[in-house]
Amino acid sequence: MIRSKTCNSSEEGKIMVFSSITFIFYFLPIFLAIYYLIPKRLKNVVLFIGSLVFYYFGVKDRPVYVLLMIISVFVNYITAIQMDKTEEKAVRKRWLAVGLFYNFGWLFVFKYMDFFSGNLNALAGLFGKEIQIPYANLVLPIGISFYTFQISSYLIDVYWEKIKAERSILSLGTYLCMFPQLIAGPIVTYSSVKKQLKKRSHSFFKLEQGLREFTIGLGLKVLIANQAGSLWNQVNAIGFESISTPLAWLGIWAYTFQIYFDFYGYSLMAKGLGQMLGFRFPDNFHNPYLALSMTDFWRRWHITLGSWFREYVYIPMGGNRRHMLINTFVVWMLTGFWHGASWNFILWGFLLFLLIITEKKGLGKFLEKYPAAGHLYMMFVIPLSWLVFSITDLGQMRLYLTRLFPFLGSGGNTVFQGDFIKYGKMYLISLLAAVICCTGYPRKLYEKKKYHFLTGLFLVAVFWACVYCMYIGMDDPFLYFQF
Amino acid sequence: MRRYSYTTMLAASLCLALAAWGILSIVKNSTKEPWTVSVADAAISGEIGSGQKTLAGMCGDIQGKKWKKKKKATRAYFDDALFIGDSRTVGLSEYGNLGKADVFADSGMSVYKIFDTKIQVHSGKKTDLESLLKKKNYGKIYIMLGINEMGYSYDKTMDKYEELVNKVHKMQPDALMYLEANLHVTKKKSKANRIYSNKKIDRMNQAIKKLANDTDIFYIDVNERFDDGKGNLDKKYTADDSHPLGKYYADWVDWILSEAVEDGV
Repeated sequence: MIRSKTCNSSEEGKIMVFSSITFIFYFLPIFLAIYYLIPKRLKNVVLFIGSLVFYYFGVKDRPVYVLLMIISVFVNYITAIQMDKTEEKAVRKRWLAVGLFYNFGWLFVFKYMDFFSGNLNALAGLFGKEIQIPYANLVLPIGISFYTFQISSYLIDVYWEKIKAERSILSLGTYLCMFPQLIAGPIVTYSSVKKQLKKRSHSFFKLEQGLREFTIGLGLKVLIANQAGSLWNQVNAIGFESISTPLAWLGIWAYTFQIYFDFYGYSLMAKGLGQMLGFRFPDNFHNPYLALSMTDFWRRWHITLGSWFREYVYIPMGGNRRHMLINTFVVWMLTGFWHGASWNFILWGFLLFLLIITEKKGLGKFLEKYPAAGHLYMMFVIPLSWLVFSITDLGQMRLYLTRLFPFLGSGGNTVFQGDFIKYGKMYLISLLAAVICCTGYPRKLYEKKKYHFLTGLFLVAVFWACVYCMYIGMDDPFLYFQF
Repeated sequence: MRRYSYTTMLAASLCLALAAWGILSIVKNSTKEPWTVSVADAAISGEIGSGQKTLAGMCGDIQGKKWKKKKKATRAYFDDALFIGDSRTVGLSEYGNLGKADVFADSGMSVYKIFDTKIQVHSGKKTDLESLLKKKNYGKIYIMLGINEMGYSYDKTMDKYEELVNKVHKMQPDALMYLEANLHVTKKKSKANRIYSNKKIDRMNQAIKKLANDTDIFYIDVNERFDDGKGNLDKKYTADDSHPLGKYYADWVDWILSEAVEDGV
C-alpha cells in the first residue's frame, strides 16, 4: 500500500465529509460561530443556508444538484399544502402520487435507470434483438437515497393526516437539508423533529454533549473503520485468487468491521452535530453485532431505515395480519435494492429474507433460548451476508467463497504463505479495538466515568489521533456515500 | 467528583497546538531546511535538475569489459542478487519467486529513509542497508524506488536517488546494478491525481535512466510488460490502480529474468 506524506486531502474526492480537515477546522467552527451568534428566530435560516453550502461542497462538480434539492423542497411543500386543502380522498391521493412520483422519479433516474437499461439490453440480446438502450452514466447526487426517503415520509404522513402540512417553507427546507443528517441519515420523520424545528434550546451543556458524541464517532470512523477498510482494500489489491483461506476470513471480518464503524461512527457524528444545534436525533444503531438473530440484527442496525420500511411499506401492506410472507418478501427485496442498483444487492436482500423467514418459523426462538448458539450463528451469518453485499461481481463473489471454504473449489496457487500473519500483525490493534467496541462495555464504562479527567484526556487524544490520520491522507470516503 | 468539561480541554489543546505550530514555523524558518514538501512541484518544466551526469566517469576503471545484453536467465540468476525497493518489491518477494535473493524492501520505503530503516532480511536480526552491503558480495543489485517520494521536491529526490546509486556502486563495485523503472498507475488514477500522474512518473523514470551506463548499471522498464499501450498501467492487471494483482507478480519476475544481462568478455 502506498503510504506517503501527501498534504491534506488527496486530489480525488474533495468532498467535505465530517471526517475531514476541511469540515472540522474550517466549515464547522465558522458555521457554529455564526449559528450561535445569530438570534433565535433566524437560526433556521443560517442552518438552511449553511446546509446548502455544505451540500455544495459535496457536489462541487455538479452544482445543479443543489438546485435539484431546493426544487424538491418546493415541490413537496406545494403538494403537501394542496393535500391539506381538501378532504376528498381522491384529490389527496392524486397530490400524493404527484409528490411521490417526483421524489422517486429522480431516485430512479439517478440510481436505477442504468441498471434497468443494462438488464433490458441483456434480455433483448438473449432474444436476438439488438436494441441497445444507451446508458446515462449519471453521477449520483450525494445523499439522494436518504433525503428521498425522508421527504417522502413527510408527504405520506400528511396524506394519512398524521401531521398537518408545514406552512413555513423554511422549516420544511431545514428539515430536508440540514447537514448533520443530509448525507447519511438518520432518516427522521417530520413529526419527530417538528417541535424542535420551531423551538429548541441551545446551551453549553448541549455543545459539550455534542462535541463528545462527535469525537467518539470520529474516532470510530478514522481509527477503526478506516484501518479495517485498509485491510479489506489490501485483500482486494492482492486479488482474490491470491489470498489464503485465513486471510480471506480476516478480510471479510475487516469489511464487517469497516461497514459497521464507518456507518455507526458517521451516525454518532450526525447525532453530535445535531445536539450542538439543539436537536435530538434518534439513534441508528444499538450494538447490532450482539444480536442473536438476523431479525434482532435489523432492529439494531440502521434502525431508522428499518422503521421507514415498517411504517410506510410493511404495515400499509398488511403487516403481520395479512399475507405476511409476501409483505416480508417485498420489504427485504426493497431493502436490498435500496442499498444498490446491482444484482448482488438484490441477492443480499433475498438472503436476508430467507434468514428472517427461517427464524420466524422457529430458528429464532431456538437462538434466543441458547445465546451461545445465537452468537455463533451470527458470527457466520453476518460476515457472509456482508460478502454478498460488498462484492458486486458474482464471479468474484464465487471466487471469494472458494477461498473461504476451500472444499468448494480449487485455486489459491498464487498465494503468499503466511499472508494472514503479516496482515494480522499489521492490523492487530485496530481489529482488537473493533471487537471490543462491538460490545456494550466501552460505552458503559464511558457513561460511568464520563466527567472524569482521564476520560476527557482520552477524548482529546482520540481527537488529535484522528486529525493526524486525516492529515496524512488516511481518510477513505464513507462507504454509504454511494447511496 | 469534579466534572471535567471536554469542550474546555479540547479548546485548551487547540490553543496549545496552535502555539506549538507557530513556534515550529518560526524555528523552521530560522534553520533553513534545504528542501520542503512541495506539491507545487507539479510544474513539469522538463529540466531534470542538478547532478544528472552519468556515473560512467565516477566509477573509476571499468576495465573496458564488454557485457552481452539480455538473455533470459534461470532462477539461479537470483542466487547472489539483492532487491531494494518499496511495496512493489515486497509484492515481488511475496507473490513472485525471487529464489535465494536477499530482499531489502518495505511498504513506504523511499530514498529519504533507505539508509535509516532496519529491515529483517530472511531470518535473523533486522539490519540496515549499509551493514547488509558490507556483509556480502552481491552479483546483482536491483533498485526500484521513486513512487513514495512523489510528493516531495523532485530535485532533492533525484539527488538522494543518485546518492543511493553511488553508495551502492562504491560498496559493491563488482555487482551489476539494475535500476528499475517505477510502475505506471492506471489512466483513472493518473487523471484523478496530480501527484501520482504518469507524466510525473515518466519524468522520474527518465532521470533514473540517465544514471545507467550500460556497462554495469542498467535501466529496465517493466511498463513495457504491463502498459495499456497509452502509457498507463492496464487496468486488467490491477484492482487498486497502482499495484498489480498478486498473480501477476510471477509474470513480473519472469520479465525481470528476461532482462538479465549475462557476464561477457
